[in-house]
Amino acid sequence: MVARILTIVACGFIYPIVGLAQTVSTPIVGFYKKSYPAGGSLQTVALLKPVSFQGEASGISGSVLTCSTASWTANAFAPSTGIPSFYVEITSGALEGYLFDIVSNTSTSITVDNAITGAGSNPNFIIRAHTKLSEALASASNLVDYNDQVTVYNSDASSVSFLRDSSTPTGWVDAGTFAESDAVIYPNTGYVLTSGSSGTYTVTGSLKTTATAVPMYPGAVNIVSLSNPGGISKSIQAIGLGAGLADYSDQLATYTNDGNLSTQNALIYGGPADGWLDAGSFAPVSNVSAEGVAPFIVTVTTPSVWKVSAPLNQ
Amino acid sequence: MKKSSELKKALGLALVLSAGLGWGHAANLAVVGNGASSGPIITTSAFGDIALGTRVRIGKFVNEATLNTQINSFKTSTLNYNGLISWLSDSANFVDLGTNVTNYGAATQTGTGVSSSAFVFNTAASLTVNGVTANRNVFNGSIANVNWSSSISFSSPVYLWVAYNNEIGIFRDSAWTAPVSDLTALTLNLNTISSAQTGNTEILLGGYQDYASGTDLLVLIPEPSTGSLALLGMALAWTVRRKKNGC
Repeated sequence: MVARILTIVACGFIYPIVGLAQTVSTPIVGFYKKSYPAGGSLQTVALLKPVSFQGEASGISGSVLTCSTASWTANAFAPSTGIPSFYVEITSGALEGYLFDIVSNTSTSITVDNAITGAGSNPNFIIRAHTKLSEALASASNLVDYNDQVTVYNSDASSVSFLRDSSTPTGWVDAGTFAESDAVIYPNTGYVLTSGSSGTYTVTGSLKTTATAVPMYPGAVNIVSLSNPGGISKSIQAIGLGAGLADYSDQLATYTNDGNLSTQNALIYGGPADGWLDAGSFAPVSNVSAEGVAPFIVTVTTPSVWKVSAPLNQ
Repeated sequence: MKKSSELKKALGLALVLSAGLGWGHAANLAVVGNGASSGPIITTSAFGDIALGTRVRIGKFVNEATLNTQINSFKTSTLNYNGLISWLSDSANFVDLGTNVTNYGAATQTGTGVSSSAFVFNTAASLTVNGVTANRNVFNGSIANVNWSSSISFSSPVYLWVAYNNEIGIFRDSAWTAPVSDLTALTLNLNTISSAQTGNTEILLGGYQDYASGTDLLVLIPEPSTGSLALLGMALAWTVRRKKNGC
């Protein structure tokens, strides 16, 4: 059960971390409350950290983006305790919506974790802090130490599980090593929460106003979501998921939210003309919806990207 | 055109069937046996430490009725320690989730004597047992990437057993039940075993040492004949001490 955004505040941000090239006006901030069942459930994060910086790149080379007018503090965006802290999001051009983790930065340049040359020479971009597991469930009720778990699935088909330990600063320990740990929850992705009892949590933050390119990897558990806190329900045929997917091969499943995580709908992609089909009968489906904060899982045979519209455009 | 479409559908169906709809995703089994959250730890019958590197077997008994028969045979001395260990170690009787024999999951632990293919006692923790604070050998970690459906099946009870120096303990708890989704994790925490034992549903073989405060102990038991000898030895030692005190 998701409450609509209860508070919409328009305000001009003064970004505290760095000098500014320009500011973003009227960001939409607010909160929503989400309940989770006892057992397993898919969760996502639909409100993000505020934009820390936005501007137009003055140059791009390899994995380095330059902004000659910036005056960032060196490594203000660098990873912390081995976990990416900030990311660059390209907001115009060929790579619009693509996110890149920031590895390091100088006063005028940023090095990201991948080649960024496809973005062209002068794309618009924003810098935003990642939302981490410790923040996503910071307000969760009824989480029990050394009982409840979160599992995050990686692009290389591996997964990492975390056990609740409220005595640690992050509130979570690696379930294998028992060392304090944390994880990035990327925009429009999700994770599995396994809890012994039901509860609720509240998410506060900024509404994403730009499209997102969500990567999906073969062999991996691609938990993806519209990440729209506004209570939206869209036909699975109308969310733009299909471009680049393999006909009669790539699949999608929605799951129950009763704690059992049973497959609710198993679909297979039938191509642009047919869209999503029932995986058993191959009949086109018309009654399967993607809910705003209910993730689903996509299985792909080749690396693919789902271009998700910003919540206000969904 | 139609032929191509039909072929794609056939291929799609084959893919869907071979991949089990493609939703067979792996979950995590976290194991907590280090006294966290007021949980007991597992020790020898004499309350001593179990050596680091000792295997902790976690999985499913194929036939629980047969398990009970074996346990009763052990308790009545018609089955000795080696015989019971042989039966327990047979993959036809016990599906071990944390072993490379069955390869249902990889142990994820750090510490002494750890292995990627076997779950073990791996670390020492400072715990207070019966008023004495000391480092005690315990285990924690996880067995990663378990597919409940293909390994032990959904809703199956999960057991834990430890064998060490001719002693053995077999434990389970109702909370240790495989989820009904391969996406759902499970935590096997010794703290769910209660000190108030009703029947043999939790401690099938072993004992529970309940202290007024601090960490409790789940203890292994020796095979009955050995146990009798040990008790006799303890009685003799006690007698000797009494005699000395009397001098």
